Amino acid sequence: MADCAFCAATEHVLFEDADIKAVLAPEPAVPGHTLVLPKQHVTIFEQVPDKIIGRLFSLANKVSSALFETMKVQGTNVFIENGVAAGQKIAHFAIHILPRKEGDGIDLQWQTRQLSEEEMATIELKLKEKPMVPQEPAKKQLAEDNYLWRSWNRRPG
Amino acid sequence: MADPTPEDLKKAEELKKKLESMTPEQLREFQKKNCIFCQIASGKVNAKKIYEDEAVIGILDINPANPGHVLLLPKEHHMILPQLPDDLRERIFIAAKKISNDLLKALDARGTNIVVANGPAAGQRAQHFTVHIIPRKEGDGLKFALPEIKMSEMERLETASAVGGRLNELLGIKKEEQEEKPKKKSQPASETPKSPPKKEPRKSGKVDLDDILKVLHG
Repeated sequence: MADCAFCAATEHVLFEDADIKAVLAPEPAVPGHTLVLPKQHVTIFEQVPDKIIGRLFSLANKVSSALFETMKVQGTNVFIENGVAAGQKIAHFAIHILPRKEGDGIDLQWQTRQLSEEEMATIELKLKEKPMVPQEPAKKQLAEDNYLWRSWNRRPG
Repeated sequence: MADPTPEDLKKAEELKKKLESMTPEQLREFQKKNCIFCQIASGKVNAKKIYEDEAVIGILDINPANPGHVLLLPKEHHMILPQLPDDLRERIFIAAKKISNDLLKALDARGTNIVVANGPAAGQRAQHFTVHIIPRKEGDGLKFALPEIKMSEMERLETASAVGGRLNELLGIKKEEQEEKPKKKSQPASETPKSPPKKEPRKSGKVDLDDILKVLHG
């Protein structure tokens, strides 16, 4: 998409091929903050085709190792914000690779909640009702998602 | 905590020696025996399993950040991302996509965060590689804070060159190719070194995203 900041991110490209790329984050949280992206403009994880997921995360893994070795850090985070409610700001799916040091200002910790056995069992049931298909989701579903996405995308502002 | 007694120190020293004398295979076996997630994977310890295939399991976190927080793990004992074989890594993240989708649909979540921590400085607590998939809703009280720092164009170019150079080595891309590419990319950048970041595209991006669930729910 012409007006997408990540489609337009052509500076500081660390690696690219026909389908995927790794670029320095335009608005970094720490030095070395890198984004691994599909080149195709897809918004959320669910729209990323299974056939490029292996390569995206293989690249993410290599970026993580390269950052670890060159940025003198103590660890890395692989972080995805999937949807506005999860903090996503740009409508283009991205895997954030964050080199980490103690006291670097990044906070990816959380307060844990205590749920009752009943609450946990309800959640388990809801999730188990979904068919457990380990492989590619049904083609029909994907096509439907794409259709919905396309039709939504055509709507004005 | 009380100071360790001489006996404790002796025990610790013995354990250290034992660990040092182990082959990598023995060490992995030792870690495995003491790893709670390996015991969950093998069925020795109960957990609420919501996903399973030959190599991967997904369980509900008993100390969730939000209701429906899933831990996705390889059945095999690996500590960090770089240790995973290629096919296992692919399998795990394809499963992560599926589970994320299930959380959006079955729990009516409005988004998901997917978090992997490599190393204690990144927040890793377990000794077994884990992908956290956390369902999100507006106003759920969770705050993952990414600060924004300023970097000069020179700093960016230096970082891109250092990280990109090492990355291409790791990817097995030959030097000639690797030098060609950054040249093409960095030339226009060095001609206009301080182009301000474009702000307008972000707004339109946000409008699309606000109705992200329509993509899923129709």
